[in-house]
Amino acid sequence: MTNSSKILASAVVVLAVASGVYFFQGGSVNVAPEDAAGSGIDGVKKAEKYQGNASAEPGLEGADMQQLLQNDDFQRLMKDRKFVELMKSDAFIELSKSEAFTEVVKGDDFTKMVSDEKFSEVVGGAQFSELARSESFKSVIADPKMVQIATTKDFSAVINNASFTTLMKNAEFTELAKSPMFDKFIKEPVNIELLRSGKFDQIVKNPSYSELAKNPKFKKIAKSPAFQDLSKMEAFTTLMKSDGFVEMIADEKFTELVNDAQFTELAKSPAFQTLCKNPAFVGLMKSEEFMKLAEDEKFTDLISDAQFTELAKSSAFTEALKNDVVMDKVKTQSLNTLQSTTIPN
Amino acid sequence: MKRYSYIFSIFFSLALCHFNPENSMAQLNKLETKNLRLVSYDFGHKYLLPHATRSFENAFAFHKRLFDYNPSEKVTILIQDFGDFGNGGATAVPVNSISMGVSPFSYTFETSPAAERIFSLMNHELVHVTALDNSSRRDRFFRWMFCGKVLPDNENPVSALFSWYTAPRRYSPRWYHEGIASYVETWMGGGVGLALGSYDEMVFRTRVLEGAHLYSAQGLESEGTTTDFQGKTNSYLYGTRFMGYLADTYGPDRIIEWVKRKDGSSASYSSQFKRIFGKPLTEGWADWIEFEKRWQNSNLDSIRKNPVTEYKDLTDFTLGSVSFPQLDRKNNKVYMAVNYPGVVPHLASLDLKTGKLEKLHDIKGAALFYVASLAWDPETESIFYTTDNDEWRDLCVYEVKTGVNRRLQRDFRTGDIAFNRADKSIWGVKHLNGMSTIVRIPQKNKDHPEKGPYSDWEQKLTLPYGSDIFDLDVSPDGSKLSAAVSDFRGNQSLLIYHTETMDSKNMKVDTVFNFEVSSPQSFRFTDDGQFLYGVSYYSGVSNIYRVNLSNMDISPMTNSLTGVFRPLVLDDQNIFAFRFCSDGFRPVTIPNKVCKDVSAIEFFGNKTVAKYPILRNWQLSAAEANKINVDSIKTGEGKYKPLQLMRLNYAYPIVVGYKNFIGLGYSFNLGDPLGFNSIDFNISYTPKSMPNKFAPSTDKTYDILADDELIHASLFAKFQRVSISASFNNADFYDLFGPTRYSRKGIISRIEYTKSLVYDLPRRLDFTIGGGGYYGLQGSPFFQRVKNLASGNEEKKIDRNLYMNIDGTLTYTNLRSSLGAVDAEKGIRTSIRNLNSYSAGNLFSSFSGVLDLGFQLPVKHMSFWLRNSAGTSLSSEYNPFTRVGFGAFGNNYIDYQSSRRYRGTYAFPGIGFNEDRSIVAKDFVKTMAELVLPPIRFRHFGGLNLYSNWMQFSVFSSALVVREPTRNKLYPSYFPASEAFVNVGSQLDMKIVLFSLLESTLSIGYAEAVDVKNTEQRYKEFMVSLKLLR
Repeated sequence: MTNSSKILASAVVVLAVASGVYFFQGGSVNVAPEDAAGSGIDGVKKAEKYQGNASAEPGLEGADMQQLLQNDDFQRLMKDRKFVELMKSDAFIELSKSEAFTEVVKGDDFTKMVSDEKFSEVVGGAQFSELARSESFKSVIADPKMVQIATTKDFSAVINNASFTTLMKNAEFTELAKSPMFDKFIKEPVNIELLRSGKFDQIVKNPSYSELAKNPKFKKIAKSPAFQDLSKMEAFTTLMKSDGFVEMIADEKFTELVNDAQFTELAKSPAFQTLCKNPAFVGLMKSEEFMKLAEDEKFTDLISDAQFTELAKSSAFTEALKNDVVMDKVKTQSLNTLQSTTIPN
Repeated sequence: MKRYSYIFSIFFSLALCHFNPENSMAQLNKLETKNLRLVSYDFGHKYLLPHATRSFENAFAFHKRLFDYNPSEKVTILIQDFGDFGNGGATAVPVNSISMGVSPFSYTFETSPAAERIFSLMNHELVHVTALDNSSRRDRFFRWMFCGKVLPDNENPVSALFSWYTAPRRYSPRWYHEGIASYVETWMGGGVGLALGSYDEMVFRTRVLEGAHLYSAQGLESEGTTTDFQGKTNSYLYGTRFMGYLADTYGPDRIIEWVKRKDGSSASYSSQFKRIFGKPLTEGWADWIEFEKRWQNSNLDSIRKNPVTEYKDLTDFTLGSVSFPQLDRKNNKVYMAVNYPGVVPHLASLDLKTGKLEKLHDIKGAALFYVASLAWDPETESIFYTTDNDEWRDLCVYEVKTGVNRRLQRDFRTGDIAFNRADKSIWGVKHLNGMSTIVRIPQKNKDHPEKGPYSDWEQKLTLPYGSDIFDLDVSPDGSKLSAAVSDFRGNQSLLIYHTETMDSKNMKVDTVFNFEVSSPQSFRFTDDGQFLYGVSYYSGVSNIYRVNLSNMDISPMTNSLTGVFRPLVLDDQNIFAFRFCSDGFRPVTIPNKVCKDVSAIEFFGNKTVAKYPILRNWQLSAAEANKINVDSIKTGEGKYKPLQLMRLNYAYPIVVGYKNFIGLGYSFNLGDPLGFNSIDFNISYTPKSMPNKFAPSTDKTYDILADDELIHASLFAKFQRVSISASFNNADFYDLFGPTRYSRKGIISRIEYTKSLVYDLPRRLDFTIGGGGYYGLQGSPFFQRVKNLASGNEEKKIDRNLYMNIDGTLTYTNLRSSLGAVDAEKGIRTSIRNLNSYSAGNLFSSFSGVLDLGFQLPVKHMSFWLRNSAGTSLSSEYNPFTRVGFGAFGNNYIDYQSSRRYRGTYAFPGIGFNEDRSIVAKDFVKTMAELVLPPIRFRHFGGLNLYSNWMQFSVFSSALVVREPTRNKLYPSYFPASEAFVNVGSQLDMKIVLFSLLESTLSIGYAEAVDVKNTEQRYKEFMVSLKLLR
């Protein structure tokens, strides 16, 4: 189906681990006698109390994990039923075991992207939440072919091209794209092959094209400056040759999606684009584990949840995904041990 | 044989199929060394485990040397986070085990000074294990004979004797155990502990100054730890002080010799005292009291060398424990949380002009000493406060104007709250996984406004482990946060955080002053933000200090004889504070002016350590401990599986009664080290040649012992929420005395599951479902008087030999009491039960319900109760399954169940079991009014090893209406359709303590009853009962 929706899928993953605008620094307090503001209190005789030798600091192991566990976002996360369910889901567990995932979440690109304020603004917004809940979105991110196209630099160039945006917003194009006539044309294997091969001159000989060519809307679009510009664009012609791209742009759901302002903002985000160039990220998007996760209802339910989106902005979340101990808990399905528990009474 | 096998198999199959006791224990982990089994359940505590292991090994090795201790087994330690403040508990009977809370200690009033808490707790709790587990040859012989250390069981009271033989030192008063533990812990910590405690010095200095009573060794246990506002803390105070005196007078080695249980030592702690110190303990104690008076008078003279601060009492009574007060300038009132004997802890308001104290609202889960943490919003006139202060704290708010009270956050585990007037947020300190975190609770929940105000929180600063923070305040402009901060050495400083920098890497913190081990407490900003006023034991006495924030100069404001706390600046002339008195804290005003000179006192512990430098060598080196490589001493690691770790704890002979015969047998107890699972099994034999001539029943059928009634067996097993019981010809120790009989011929089996639907103490809602099978019983398994009912046609509808029950009960309780109470003083207890019996293809159902309501009266510890119950059988058949019986107080002459059985649904004092009259009914309604009078506490009634604590009197009157339509229909001339009875009675209960721990209750009761419809039929009953063990 629609491949560019894979951009969205990747964005969704990123969304799910959204930006951290909140950083926390722990304080360290060492109180030694020399810290005193003065050596005594005037007028007060200090009571003498025996004090033995100074004690050594207790040797602890893994105490730094406590900074994460004490964090309010993290505590909320651990109580968020949807998050916990997702983390326990087979799909996420499998994903968490993949090297690509580990490499991505620990990478600088990922951290930069989730730290990007603009990105955070987009994915954290109510509109995006609404988008993520929409049927078009859900069906798009479930399409495994999307990532292949969406992670190419050509796609990035096309999606950010003003002409492409104009075309996608064109009501007549949208209507044409929905028409049975266009649907028939675009799905004919011979046409697909011809489009891919760039043999546009041969397409015009095809009877289904003839029918299309007579369509007033088609004529208008074909003559439009946007379309003209686009057809000259190298990236576009390259994309046309990609498997699935043609079907993608013909898909009304994709059209809906790219017409969404939030989506285009997301796609424009430099941080997101940088991440898309990251081979590990690309690898992750293409991985079977991710595909499976994207199809999991728990995943779509979670990312469309406004509360979760808010939580996911926090550094606690990104820290959690980067933390070996936490991910180990996920991989061994013992996430619940991170929650404070009590012995049954 | 087949039938009862069938019954057993059904119920045990149910038990096995429908639960897996290991499942809920799946998250328990253990780490083992040669001496230790360390159990934990939360990932968040993992960082502490290696340190806990090292601290254990270090302390254990020390105690083995000091006390010449040979452990009988490993010590099992549970690391837990059940409460917001650190605590610990230890036992060695039947197994060596410790429960250790990881939360920071409470620093209130410096009542528990300590170094790093795992280190301190380990040192302290292991003294208990050592003192209890250490053994002489005689103890070891009896441990071999009884297969372990016996825990007394009130169902087999002879077990108390065996317990004494296997662990005699267990039967010592609490002050003895806590005294030695606190004393040794102090020196193991390099002088940080109660033996050098400022609060301890203050308590005794105050009592001497006021001429207040200093408890005797026995008086401490009977009165001092129950009616005093300090409660059981008195055991620590007196015990540590007494140990300190003995160490100073005779040498530290002598107290070790006293506590050490080795060959040749006396089993009894008091006999051993005489052996070591050459005089009776009472005499030694009296010597200490005299010394203490001299010591404290000397300290008082030191303080008086400089002018002593004058104060003006605002009330003529003391308030027990008090929270930090909140000043309401507009209404000239002070709000605080109070906890004193006789009244349930509550929020109170004190009128500064009149001194009148008004109760505002009860506080659930008040803490000793600090009661609750409070903050005040002057604009909305709201008091924010914490509840469940010894567990996981909740945040609540009480609106003074409207009286509306509501909970804002549940289990938010935060206290030391302070209100920020600038943005109306609340700041506090959260305790989680043993860490202290400053949190901010914003007024508005921006993500979920529908949850209401103050429903969210933000992490601001988590201190490293070992550093704790307490007593927060926020400056009026919100820019500064003052706090007391301690480090792992026990040094405490007053710090000021700049709040706007708290989220950044360049957080700004100013150290006002390092008070070292003299805790800075309750420092609060003045309204103009120019000063901080608080207290410290810097001179050894708690005095008020003022910090000038412009130059950080500190000035003393008081020179107090006892101690002053929690100051609030009223105006330029006056400071509101609490002064310490023998019975608590009393509100006073003090002049707001700088003191010229403040004297210091001497600490008794200093004198001792100078005299006996050996105490310096008791200090454990944490650096040395850090060198212990846990991996090299580890012998095992994995999951703690209670079933796998179950073993025989002990076994001992028993004597039982069955009908009018005496039997002998054996009792066995098995369990895992932490007590999650347990099995008790008894087997006995009653030969026909051993009739019971002590208290035979008048029922002639009890003189007949069939051949199949000679063997008796019973089993009770508990696996977390599930309990399974089974018996064959159940015999009972208390049937030796009667008149209530528990023994039954036949087979009884039962499985029961209980779950708490609400567990928010003191509120709880429990659901219990159970099922039982019965075979070959003589009479109802529940009602002694309901037997051999049914005849003729009725017989065909039941099978006396085989029947089953299934029942379900829902019980809600919310009972509260005040300090010094011996019973609940107010609240509600209600339950509803459905019982279904199945026999001979017929099902018989019944319902019953209870509603008890209690009201605390204005007199201390006096309460009034209305106890109501009702029930109905849904069947008109007349047989043991459809009818209930009423009568008597219900106590046995020698008993183990509740001493106040007259409160039971089926009790009806006045009409005893031996009366010709029996009350059997299909439907009933009963109500009782009961007045419980305040207990009379005995300061000295008895000796060290046998004394009485208290005596309490109650009067009651009840009315019972019953219906029996079936019999009435068949025999209208003989059986009325309904009957009504009224009674009036009273009961006196006296608590008696044997060997410090073995509590018994002697009860004497008298009641008269009358048949309302036939007033000539009057009955009287006199009851005497001794309830053995708790």
